[in-house]
Amino acid sequence: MLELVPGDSDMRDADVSDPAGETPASRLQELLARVGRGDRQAFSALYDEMAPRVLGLVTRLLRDPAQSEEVTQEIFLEIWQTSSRFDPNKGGASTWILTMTHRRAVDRVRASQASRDRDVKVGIRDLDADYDHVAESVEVRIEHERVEKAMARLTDMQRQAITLSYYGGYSNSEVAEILSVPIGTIKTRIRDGMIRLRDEMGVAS
Amino acid sequence: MTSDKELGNLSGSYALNGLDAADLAEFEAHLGQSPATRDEVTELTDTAVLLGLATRPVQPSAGLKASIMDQLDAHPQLPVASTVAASSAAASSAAFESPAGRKAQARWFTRPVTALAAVAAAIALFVGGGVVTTSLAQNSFAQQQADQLAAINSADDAQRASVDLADGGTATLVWSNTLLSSALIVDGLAPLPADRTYELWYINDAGARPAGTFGVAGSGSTWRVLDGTMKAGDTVGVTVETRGGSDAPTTDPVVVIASA
Repeated sequence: MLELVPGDSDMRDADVSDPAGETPASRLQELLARVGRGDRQAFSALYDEMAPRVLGLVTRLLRDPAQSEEVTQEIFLEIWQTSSRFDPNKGGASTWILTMTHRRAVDRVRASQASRDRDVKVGIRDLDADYDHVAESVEVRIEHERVEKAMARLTDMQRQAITLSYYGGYSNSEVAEILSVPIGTIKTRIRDGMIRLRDEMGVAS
Repeated sequence: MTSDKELGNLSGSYALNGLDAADLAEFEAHLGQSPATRDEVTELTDTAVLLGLATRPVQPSAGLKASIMDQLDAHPQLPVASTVAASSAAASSAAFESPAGRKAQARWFTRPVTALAAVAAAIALFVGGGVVTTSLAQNSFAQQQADQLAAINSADDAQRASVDLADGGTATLVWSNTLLSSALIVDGLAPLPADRTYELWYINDAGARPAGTFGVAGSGSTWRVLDGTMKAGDTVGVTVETRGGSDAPTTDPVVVIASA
């Protein structure tokens, strides 16, 4: 269903601005706009919609459940404080929230001493490793399969470097060390791979 | 100095938050000058979001939501229009014509990264420690206010005054009469019960003007740029008020600092 139809740009835009699937993008945007005006009821609804997504991504990077909830709390307080600056013309609500989420999770991974002890295998195992296809809703499964399919089109090194960076929270120099590849090569592979993913998944501004 | 071509190569890592510190500073400077790179970063950031949405959702524990809702009062919301940040964004907006460019501009000029670093350094000077800077790094309201505090602190007429608090802490006011603005930095202020908040006041002969509320975490350290306009010679006070703040002080101040 989410195999992209080249040339159907409306369709693609709709996908990009509404990656959460089950929640219409317009509803999330409306909620976030109301949160920006101090509406606690809207904040509560936004939390219910997005908290499992936010905590899911944070947990993927941090692993530790208690720390992951702590960071999720910081993220939602940041959403509360800065939502007045959210402008739907500049990108979708879930894009805004997930971008903030990843940045905060990476900050925590880097700051945490435990990050030095992270098992490299956690970073480089497949996206699929701990994924339970049966348990997820259709929408989540579709998103997952879409990414999985696009990832399969990358070279091994592109995929490993992107997986370590995004899901492992490793910096370029750490990725270079883990994969025993010069850092310049890592930077190039990550960029090439991300451009490939962008094109495979039909992301356009 | 890295070439533009090499810097452009960093867009993918930037979208994944994977840049090492030195590269990050150089790349963000480059972003300000290259609309093409900004467009690419915007698209690759959207791509990264799809990677994020492909992870398995995790249901939070029952207590998390209540804990967050309880803390909203202690985390004031940013006003709708940005002040200092807006003017600096406008000054550098020449090259944003495409929709992606506008989108990129909106995103990349809302993070006062350098101001934040400057403020962190300034605060470390005031209170001599890492307690405040730790919360600063994790707190976006502080990030957004950082522009204003950096502006106050670097103003030619910046002045500061400190007082010792009754229970052992300190409070420092830094202000600029030309900017008509001030910020209060506290260290060792007691945390309040959930139904109370600290409220700031500009005080002069005409009375007390409310200037925002704030809470303190367990460390007792925080800082806040005051809302509203400072008049030369104003005294800044802090009182304990009921949640949401008051129009006029209802208790004796716990902090009083004269700016004259």
